[in-house]
Amino acid sequence: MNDMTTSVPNGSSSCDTLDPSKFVFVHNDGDGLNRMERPSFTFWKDVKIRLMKNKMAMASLVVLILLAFTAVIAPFCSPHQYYEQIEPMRTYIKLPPRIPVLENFGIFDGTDSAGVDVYAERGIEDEYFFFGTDNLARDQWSRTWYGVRISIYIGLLAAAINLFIGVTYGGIAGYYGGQIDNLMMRFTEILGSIPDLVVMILFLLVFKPGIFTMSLAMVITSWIGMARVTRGQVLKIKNQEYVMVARTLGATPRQIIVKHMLPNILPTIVVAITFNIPNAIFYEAFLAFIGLGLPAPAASLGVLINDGYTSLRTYPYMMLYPTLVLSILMLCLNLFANGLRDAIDPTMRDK
Amino acid sequence: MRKVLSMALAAAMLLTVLAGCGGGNQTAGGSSSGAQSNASSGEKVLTLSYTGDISTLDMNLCYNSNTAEVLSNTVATLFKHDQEGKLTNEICKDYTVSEDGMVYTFNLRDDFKWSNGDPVTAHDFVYSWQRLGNPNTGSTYANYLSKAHIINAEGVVNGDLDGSELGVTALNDYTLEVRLDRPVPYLLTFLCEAAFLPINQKFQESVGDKFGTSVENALFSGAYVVADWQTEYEIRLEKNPDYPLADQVAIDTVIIKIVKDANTAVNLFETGELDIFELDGEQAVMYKDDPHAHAYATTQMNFLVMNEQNPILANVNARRAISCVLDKQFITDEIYANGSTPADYIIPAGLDYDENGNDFRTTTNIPPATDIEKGKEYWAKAKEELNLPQYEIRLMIGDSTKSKRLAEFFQSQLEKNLEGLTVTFDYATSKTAIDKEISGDFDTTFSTWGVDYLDLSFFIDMFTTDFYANTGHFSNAEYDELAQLASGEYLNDKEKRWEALRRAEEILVVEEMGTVPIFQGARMYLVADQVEGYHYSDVTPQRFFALMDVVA
Amino acid sequence: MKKYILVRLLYMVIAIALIVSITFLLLQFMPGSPFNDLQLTPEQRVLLDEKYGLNDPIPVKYARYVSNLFHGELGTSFIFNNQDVSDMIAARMSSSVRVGLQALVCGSVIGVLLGIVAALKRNSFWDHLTTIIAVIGVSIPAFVIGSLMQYYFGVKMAILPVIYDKGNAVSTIMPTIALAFSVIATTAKYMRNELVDIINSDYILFARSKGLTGSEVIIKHAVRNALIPVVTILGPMTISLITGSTVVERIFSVPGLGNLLVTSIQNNDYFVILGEGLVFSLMFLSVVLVVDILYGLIDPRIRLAGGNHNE
Repeated sequence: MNDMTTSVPNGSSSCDTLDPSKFVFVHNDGDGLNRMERPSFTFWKDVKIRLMKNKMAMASLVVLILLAFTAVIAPFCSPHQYYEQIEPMRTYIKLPPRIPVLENFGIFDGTDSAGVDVYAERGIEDEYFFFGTDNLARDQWSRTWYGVRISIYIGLLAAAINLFIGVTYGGIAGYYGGQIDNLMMRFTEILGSIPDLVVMILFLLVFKPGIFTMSLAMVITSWIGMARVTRGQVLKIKNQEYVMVARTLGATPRQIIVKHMLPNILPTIVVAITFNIPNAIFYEAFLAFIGLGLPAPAASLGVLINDGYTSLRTYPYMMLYPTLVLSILMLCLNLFANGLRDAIDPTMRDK
Repeated sequence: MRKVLSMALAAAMLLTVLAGCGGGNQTAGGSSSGAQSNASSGEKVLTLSYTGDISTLDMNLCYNSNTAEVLSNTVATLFKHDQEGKLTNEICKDYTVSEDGMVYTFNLRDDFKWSNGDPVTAHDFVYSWQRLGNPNTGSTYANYLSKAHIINAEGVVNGDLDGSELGVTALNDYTLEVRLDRPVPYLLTFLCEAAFLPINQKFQESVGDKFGTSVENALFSGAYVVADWQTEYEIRLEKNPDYPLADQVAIDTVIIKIVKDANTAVNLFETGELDIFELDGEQAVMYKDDPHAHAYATTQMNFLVMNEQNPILANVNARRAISCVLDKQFITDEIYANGSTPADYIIPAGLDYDENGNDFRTTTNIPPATDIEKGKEYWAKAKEELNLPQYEIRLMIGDSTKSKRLAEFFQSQLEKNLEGLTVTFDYATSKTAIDKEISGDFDTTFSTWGVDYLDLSFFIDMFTTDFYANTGHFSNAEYDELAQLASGEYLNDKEKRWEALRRAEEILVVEEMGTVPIFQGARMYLVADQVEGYHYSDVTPQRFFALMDVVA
Repeated sequence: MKKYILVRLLYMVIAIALIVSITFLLLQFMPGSPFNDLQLTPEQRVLLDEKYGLNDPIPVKYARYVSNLFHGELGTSFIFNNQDVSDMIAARMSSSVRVGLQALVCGSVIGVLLGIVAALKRNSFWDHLTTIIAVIGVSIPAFVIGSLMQYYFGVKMAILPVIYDKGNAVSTIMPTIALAFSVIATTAKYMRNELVDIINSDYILFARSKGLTGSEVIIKHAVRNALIPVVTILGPMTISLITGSTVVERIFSVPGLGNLLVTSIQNNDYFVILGEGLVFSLMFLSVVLVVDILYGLIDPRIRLAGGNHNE
C-alpha cells in the first residue's frame, strides 16, 4: 500500500554537514529519564484544558449558553404568550418587526416591504413586536424562543439517542465483527428500508400526539446512520497496532474500548452527532406536519420555518428570524463541536 | 493511483455535466411555454398549471375535477356551456322532453368523429353509461346514474341488475333516449359531467383494462385532443382538426404543467411562463388587489360538521354557541382570501332563479350568526344542561398549511370565548379522515362540498336522516319531510318548493344548528393580459378552452 | 472474496423479501382505503373493495402479490387508475436519477476539495469558511435555499429556468445546487476530519521524515485513506438524494420518485408503495454492498469476512 520505500530520495547524507556545537549533551541519569516534560492529566482533564485554549470553541459555547438562557427568559419578557392570538386580530396580524432603539436606524422600524409603516396605519404606535407577528396575530418573539426550547430538547434527545443506541449498536457490531456484525448490519438495512412515513402513520393510530410519541418516533428511525459510522470507525481502529499491543499486554475488552478505542472514535462521533441534530430538528417539523409532533399551537423552530415558508414572498420576516436563530444555534454548536473534537483527538495532543 | 483515477473520473463527470449545461444553453424563458411562443410560430398557446395530475383518460373512472376538465375538453358530449355558464349544443342537435318530464329524447349530429375515424353515435353513450354503472368497472361516480334518476340505476350500480336494464337506449345511431323515474330539473347540466362522456366500445374492448392509462390507450372527439401526457409533469392539448365546430376554437395548444408548489407557480407567472394561476391562501392575500386577479363565485360550501353523537355536541345550545363565536369574515379575509364569502346559510347562491331573475338566496331571511355575547350565553346554558366535569372536543384536520391555520384559529376563538372548553386536534390524512367520519370517530371537522348537480335540494338532502354522508347524524322529522317534498311532490311547483326549502334551511342553520356554515367558496385566478374569455363554470368543464383566446 | 459477495447477495435477497413482507403487513394495518370518497355510498364501497380483493384475508392477498412479483408484475395503481406500477416508477426514475446524481457528483467533488483545503490550513480562514458552509448546508433546509434561488435567479435576475424541464439541462442547475448543499456540507466535514486525523498519524510522519514533499504525501497517501469513510457515507447518501428529495422535487416540479412515494402513502395506493419500497431497497442494498466491497478493496486493514481472528 504505502510504497514509501521506493520513493526515498537517494544520497541524502545530511549527517556530514551537521555542526556539533549545536548539540547539547542530555544527561541520561535516572531522574532525567523519569522527569515529565509536562504534568500528566487524566484524559478528560486534558481535554478540558485543550478545549479552553480554543477561543472559537469557547466563544461558541458562550453564545450557546446565552441562547439557551434567552430561550428560558425571553417568553417571560413579552406580554404575550406564544399561543395567544392577540385581539383584535385584524389589528395585530402580520406586523413587521419593530425594536425600540434600532428603529431609529431605519431597520426594524415596523415598515413592510412596501415601505409602509404598518404600526402607524393600525394605530398601535406604542407597541413593539421584536420579531413581528404571524398570520394569526401571534407574537413571533415568544414563539421563536419557545421554539428554541423545543428544538434544544429535540437536539439533546437526538444526540442522546444517537449516542446511546447508535454508538452502542455500531460499536458492538464493529468490535465483535464476523457473524454478529453481519447480522446486526443486515438488520439495520432492513429497518432502514421500510418507508418511514408508513411507520409514522401507523404510529398515529396507536399513540396520541405529544412529546412521548414524538420522541418514540425519532428513536425508531434516527440511530441507524450513527450506528453505521461508529461501526466503520471501530473496524478501522480495531486492527491498529496499539490495540493489538493492548490486547497482547492483557487488557480486558472493557479497558481496550474505554481507554483506547473511545478516544479515537469520539471525534468522528462528535461530528456526526452535530450533523444529526439539525436533521432531527427538521424531521420533527415533518412529523409535526403529519400530526406526530407536539400538538399545535406549540411550535418548534422547524415548524415555524415550515409555516413561514408559505409567506416567503409576502412576509419574509416570518421565516427569516426562526431560520437565523436556528442557523446561529447550529453554527455555534458546530464550532464548539469542532473544538471539542480537536481537544479529544489524541493525535493532536501537542499541537 | 486509484485516488488519482477516482479524482479524474469525478472531474470528468463534473465536466460532462457542465458541458451539458453549456450545450443546452437556452434562455431562462424555458423551452416550451406560454404566450412567448405566440410570436415565434403564430400559434396561440395557453399555459396553465394544476396542483395535481389527472388520474386517467377513462371517463368512467374519472374522480377528480382536473381529470374531468381535461376529459371534457377533449371528448365531445351532448352539451357544453358558454362563458356565462349557459348550456350550448355540442353533439346534441335538439331534444324533446315528455309531458311528465321523465323521458328525454336527444337527436345527435352525425359529424362527430373519434380520433381513429369512427363516428360518435348514440350507442357510444349507451355503452359508456352501462359501463359506468357496472360494478366490475370500479367507478367511483357510478352513483351519478342514480342521482340522475335514470330508471334502474340503483339496481345496476349495486350489481343486482344487468347493465342492459338501465333506462337509456339508442333508438338509432343518432337518437338517444333517456328514461327517468322522476322529473329531474337539473338533468341537462348534469349530463355534462365527465362520467357521462361517450365511449367507443370497440376501442375500449380492444385495450381492456388499460383504457385511459395513456394517450395511446384513449380516444378523443372533442375540441382538443390530448397530444401528450407525461405523468406528474405535463399535459399537452392540441386543437382537433376534425372537430365540427373547429372554426369557433381559437387557441391551438393548451399546455398544462403540474406545479405543486404555490410559490413556484407565482414565480412562473411572473416570468410569463404561466398564463393562468390560481390564487389561494397567502398568495391570494398578496395579489388580491392586482388588476390581473379575478374571482369567480362557485356553488361550493364550506361548513363545520358536528357529530351529534358526542354528548357536548348533542346539546343544541352548545352548537349554537360555537356558531356564534366564529368570526367567519376573518376566515375568508385572511385564511382563504380567494374571494370566498362568509355564509350563515347552507344553500349556495347561483343555483336557481325565479321568473323575475331573483336568486333563491335573496328570498330568504337568515339572521347573522356571529354574536360573541350571545354565544357566551348559549354556552353557559349548555354547561348548565350538560353538567359535565370537563368539556373537550376534537377537531379533525388534514395535512395542509391552510387547514392547520384554520384549525388554530378555530381553537383559539372557541377557547377564548367559551370558558372551560378545550379544543384538541386530531390529525388524519384525507383517506383516513373519511373513514373516521363515516365510523363516527370524530367530534368536529370542516367539510367542503361542491354540488354534484345544480339543484337547490343538493345540500338539504345531505342532512336528511338517512343520507349516508350525513356524518353528523343530524335528524329532524319536519326537516326530513320538507326535504322529501322538495325533491318529490313539489318538483313542478316552484313556489311551493322554494317555501319548503326555505323552511328546511331555517331549521338546519338557525333553529337546530345541525351544521355551522362557514363560507361559500370562490376561486381566484391571476389571468395574464393576453388571455381573453377566461371563466370558471359550475358546469363541466370548469374551463372550456375552446371559448378562450390568446391575443398578442 | 467471491464467497463474501455470494453470501452478501444471498443476504440481500433475504433482506428484500423481509422488507417487502414487513411493509406489506404494515400496510394492512394502515387505516383508510384508496377509495375513500364521500361520494361513494356504502354499497359501492363494498363492491369496489371486492373488485380489487381488498377484503380478502391477508395470506390470500400476500400470496397473490408474491406470485405476481415472480411474473415481474408490480401491480397497478389506484390513484392513477389501472396504470402499471412498474411503468410509473420507470417514468420517474430518469428525472430523479439525473438530478440526484448531479447533486452527488458536484457536491462530493466540491466537498472533498473544501475538506482537503480546510484540513491543510487548519483553524485558518478556510477551515472556518468550510465550517460555515457546512452549517449552512445542514441547518438551512433545502427548500429555503431552493425557493430563494428560484426567486432570485429565476424571477428577479431571470438567468435560470424557474422549473425543471426535461429537455433543458440548464433547468437542472438549481435543483442540483439545492440538493448538493447538504452533500457538500457532509462531505467537507468528514473529509476534513479524516484528513486531519491522518495527517497527524504516524505513517505520514514517517513518510515526511523520509523526505517526501508535502503534496506528494498528501495526495498519494493521506487523501486516499481519508476518502474511505467519505465513500462509506456517500453510498447511502446517493440513495437518499435520488429517492428522498421530496421538497426540492416539489419546488422545482421535478416528476420524481420522492413525490410519488409521499402521494401514494397519503392516498393508500398500496401497490405503488410496495413497488417503490422494493425498488428503493434494491438500490439501497446494492449500493451498500458495493461500498462495503470497495471499502475492503481499498483498505486491506479491514477484513471483509468481518472481524479479527485473534479474539
